[in-house]
Order: sequence, then C-alpha cells, then structure tokens
Amino acid sequence: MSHPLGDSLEVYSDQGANWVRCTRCSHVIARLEEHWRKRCERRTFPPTKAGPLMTILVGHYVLQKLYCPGCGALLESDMVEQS
Amino acid sequence: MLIRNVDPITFEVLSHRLHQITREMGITLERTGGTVTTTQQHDYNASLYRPDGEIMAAGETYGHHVVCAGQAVKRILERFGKEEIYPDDIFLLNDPYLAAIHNPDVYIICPIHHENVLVGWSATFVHVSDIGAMTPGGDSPEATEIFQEGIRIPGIKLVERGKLRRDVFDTITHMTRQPEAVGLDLKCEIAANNVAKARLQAMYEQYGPELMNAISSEMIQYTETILRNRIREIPDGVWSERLTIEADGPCKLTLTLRKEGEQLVFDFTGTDKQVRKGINLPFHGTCGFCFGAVLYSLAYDLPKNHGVLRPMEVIAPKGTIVHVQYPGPISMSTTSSGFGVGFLASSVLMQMLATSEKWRHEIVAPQASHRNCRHSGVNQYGRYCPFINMAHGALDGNGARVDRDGVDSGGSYMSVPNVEWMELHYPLLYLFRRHATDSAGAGKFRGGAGVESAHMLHDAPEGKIRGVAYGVAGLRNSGHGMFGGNPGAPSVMVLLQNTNANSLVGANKSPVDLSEIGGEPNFLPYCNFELKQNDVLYMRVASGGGYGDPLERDPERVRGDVLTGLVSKAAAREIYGVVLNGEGCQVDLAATQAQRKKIREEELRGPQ
Ligand SMILES: [Zn+2]
Repeated sequence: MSHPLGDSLEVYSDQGANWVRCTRCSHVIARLEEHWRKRCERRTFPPTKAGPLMTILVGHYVLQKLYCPGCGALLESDMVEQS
Repeated sequence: MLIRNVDPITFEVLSHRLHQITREMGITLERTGGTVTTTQQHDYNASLYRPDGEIMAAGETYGHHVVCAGQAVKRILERFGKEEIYPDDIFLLNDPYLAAIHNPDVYIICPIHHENVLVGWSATFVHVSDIGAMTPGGDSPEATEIFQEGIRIPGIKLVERGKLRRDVFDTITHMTRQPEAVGLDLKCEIAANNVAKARLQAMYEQYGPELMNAISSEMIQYTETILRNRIREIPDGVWSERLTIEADGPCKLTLTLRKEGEQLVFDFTGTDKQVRKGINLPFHGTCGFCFGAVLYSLAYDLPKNHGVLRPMEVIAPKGTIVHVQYPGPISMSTTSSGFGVGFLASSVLMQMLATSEKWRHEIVAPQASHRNCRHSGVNQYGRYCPFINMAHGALDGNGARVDRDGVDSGGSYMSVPNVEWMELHYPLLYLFRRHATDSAGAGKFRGGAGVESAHMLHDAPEGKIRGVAYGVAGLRNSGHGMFGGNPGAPSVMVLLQNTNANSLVGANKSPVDLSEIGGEPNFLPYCNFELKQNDVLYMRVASGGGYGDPLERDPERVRGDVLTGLVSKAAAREIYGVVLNGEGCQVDLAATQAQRKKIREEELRGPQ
C-alpha cells in the first residue's frame, strides 16, 4: 500500500503495517491507524495571523498550524474553536 | 466495451444533443423570464428525465435541483398515474415535503410523449419573486413552521392537453404579492418545457423510439461504469468534516464519507436535530447537494445523468437539520444547510482525492458559502415589489487549486447584474462594489478574492425598504484552506445605522472607506430588518481558501497582488514573508528569504 496524503505526506507499508511519513524529509509521523495530526508539531495563533479581516473570529477561534516534526514543513492551517 | 447496443459515434452525437436541449431550455428561461432572478441571475434549473424520473440529462446548473426535480417527476407519476397524464399536460409542484427544496423554487414538469407513449420528462425551476410567505420573496427568518412559508402545492395540472388552466394559474399567482411577475416566471417555465418537448420529440421522430430509449439508458450506464471505475481506483478510507451554522445558537452539521470499493457512503449521523428556523433541509435536498459535489469533482466530464447517483448512498437521520420532519420550517434551506451540505460533501471528497496520485491534481479548496440579502418595498417609480436578491454570492472568490490561484469573484452557478442596472431599477445607491483587500486565503496558490459592497437608499418614496438576511450565518462561512493554505475571510453582513453617508453624498463626495461612513455597526443574524435613510448595508461575500504554504508562494505573484490591491503590503510581509521596496514594489529577494526564515522560526517557537 502506498498513496499520497495531500501535498507533503504519504502512506506506505513496512513491516506489516501502514505508516504516514513526510515526503520532504521522510520522517515517519504516525501509524495510519493513529490520528497523524496528533503527532505533528502544533502551534496556535490569533486568527488575525491569517489576515486583518479575521478580527471577527477573535475570542471564538484560533489559527492552528500543524508542522512536520522532522523538518518543520507546514502541513495544515485551520481555524479551530477556541477551547 | 462500455457501449453495448449503440455505435459510439451515434452515442456521442445524440448524448450531446440531449445536453444541448437542456441548454436551450436555460436560454429560453433567460430570454422570457419575468424577473431579474431568472433573466440575469440565472437562478434556475433545466433538465431531462426518463419516463420513470431517472435523470437523462442534468444540464449545466444546480446539481441539487436536478435530483429534486427528478423526485418531483416521481411524485407526479404517483399522484396522477400514467392514465391521467396526457400529451401536452404540464404540472406544477413546489412542496418541499415531497420533492422541492423550498417553496419559492417552483418546479414545472412536462411529460413528453411520442405517438401517445410517455418517453420522457422535462423539468425546470425558477425562484419566483414571491410565494405568499410571511416574508416577501420567500426566505422567512421568523417562520417556525412550514405553514408560514407560503403556498405549498403537492402537484397540480397547470396545463391540460395544451390548454392553460386559467383558474389554477390565477389562483396561484393571486396568492403572491406580485401576481404579474410570478405569472411571467411560470410562463417562462412553460415556454422552456415546450422547447424541451419539441426538441425531444424531433429526436424521437428522426431516430425512432428504439434507438432513443437505448441511448438514454446507455448514457446512464456509461456514466455509472466510468464513475465506479474512478472510485475503485482511489484507496478506501473514511473522511469527515463539520460545519456550524448560527441560528439562535450553534447548529452543527457533521458528515463522514466512507469509501469502500466503488461505493461512496455520505453519512450525516451526528448532525444536530432540526430547529424552529427555516434552515432545515429535506432529505432529497441533502441527496441533491451530495450529487452536485460528486458531479463537479469526479464526473464533470461525463454525461451528467442518473449514473452519478448510482454509486452513492446518503444516510441522514430523520428529524435532523439534513432530514427535516413535517412541519419544520425550510424556507432558508437552500442557501444555509443546503450550501452547508454542499461544502461538507466537497470537503470530504477533496480529502479523498488527496489520497490518489491520479486525482490529487484535481483538488479545489472547498467553500462554505456566504451571507446574502433580499430587499422589498416601494421603488423609485412608486411601484411595490418584493424586489431583489442581491446575489452577491455570485461574486464569491473560489478556492485555490494544486497549481493555480482561485478565481477572484468567480462565484458559482449564478450571476449578478451590474451596479448601474441595480440602481436604475431599485431605490439603491452603491457606495462601492469591489474585491476586498486581504480577503483571499493566503497560500502557495491563494484563494480567489471575494467582493465587498456597501449600498444605501436613494430616492425611496417611503424612506425605507425591507431587508431579509439569509445565507450561511456563522464565522466559518467562507473558503477553507488546504495543506497549509489559509482560510478565506469570513462572509459578513453589517447594517451600519445613523451613518453620515447621506451628507457625504449630498456634498458630492463618494465615500469608499467604511471609516468615512461611520455609523453603528450591527452584524445581522438570520433576521428581517429595515434599511432606512442614513443606513448603509455592508456585505462581504466569501473568499477562497489557499492551497499550500504561503511562504512558498512565488514572490512575484505576491507583488502582482499588491499592485492590483488584492493583498496589502503588510500582509505581503507578515503572511507571505515577501519584502517589497519602493513605489514600484520591487521584490527584495535576500530580505524575503530572511523574512520567511524568521517567520517560520518564530512560528515554531510559538505557543503549542
Ligand atoms: Zn518533514
């Protein structure tokens, strides 16, 4: 089994298991069955980091960015509800 | 061999000819329609069906209405039976609890006979200018039950054996606030269906029923076979997405897509219960929006027909926002939960395509729609009309793609009249309508910029007009980013009260900056409101989400966006890490490299 998982990740098989790894640095991030997002470097910022028109989201959402733990490649940027 | 009974050349020619009939139906609607919603905004559908209601040719407009109009054909068949359906009959249906999505979208359905045998159906809808609901135009934010949302017709013969039933026609139009305009819209639908009937009958005359029946059956089989093959090539998996709509509190819509073999299962389990606000969607509407998402992502190049539906299953628990039970209100469903379902379905499909080497190049950052407004009142010529869907959603910025930016104000199916036309026909003055700076989601490829506008009253005899605020209310009602791309700016609708816009215009000034206009801002939820003298309505529609890391965007592209005003110099520096020097905004490559390194290092040092 081998297939892409978006732009900078891929799924591959090894030793009887399926893994998610970074295509830029080959860092193995997680088993496919795990939530790979939980194994990424995660940083949160005020919504306005994504632009001045995001002011309305302040207090409700934060901008969450996920990075490859191996090379720091940006994998995902999303507004998530502020906990 | 995909095509079993028909030679491939005949198949191609005739399947395109069927598609052309749907296009000609659409052109007929545009040229004969009674309201701008049909003639300029293109809020309509035109499609062909097989005798049992299966989609023969979906046309080029709304995927969701294609499915629902097919449902309407089935309901007409059930209600009248073939023995009461005569050549040259035409039926009308707008009941959302049977087949339609909301009452103002009136389906006109026409059986098509060849030598007295039923060989197919045509169907259209237009959004008529009024349907007798508690709010002019149909979208009724204060309705708590379907009974407040206007005339609801489960299927009626509007034309019998070629003769318009004047009593029925007058009864329907007289229950609306604008009988003449609604009458014109119903007649334009009749005209479009007459065109479809003439063209399809001509094909039956020319080619005979045997070949024509084989063609329509083979077209569906062809689309289904290719689509199933495409789905099978993609790895199995499960993907999910959520959306919150604010309607007197958060209403959560949840979708999980399970892809197994050649089957796509769209499961809305977990979606909130229906509410006493017209954002609820009938189940056939939910199926229709999922159909549209599959059609536009995996089947856009195939004959558009029932074959797209066959590999799909939709699960939506009864009594939820996506499967409303009687008598829940639905009048705002299309532009709220409907577009919401369309977003969810697109998002999970894009996540699925991202796992396919072949299909990941087709990904478009998904769009969670926008806010919109409709006005009614007395215009500058002293005439009352439930007049205008502002339709600015037609100016949404589109999502970015794997290899290119989203289209600025690319919109979707609809169009929007120019500002001068609006001002000529309605008591409105636009202060501006333009691309909003820094609205597009940043990315290696950025989203399309959405439009912002501000309008006020001008020459309104009553000194006010009514407004209704609808669309997707909520903070995440815009484009979502993919693979590091930022989301687009939220869509907002703000009523600025007690502004100084009138005195500025009176002094021959053209205020183009909100800070000049002043006033007290009120962010509009789902509501009715009044636009009065000294008020300004500011609307910003959706902008596209970005694709990929903004720090990897070609600096020259960022420079180009700064020069055209789509991106501010500050955003170029802080979001894209591009340093521009001087009035010509020349890219300082060394400083840009250093700035990008600094941004990423600072991000990674930031709070976890
Ligand atoms: Zn990496």
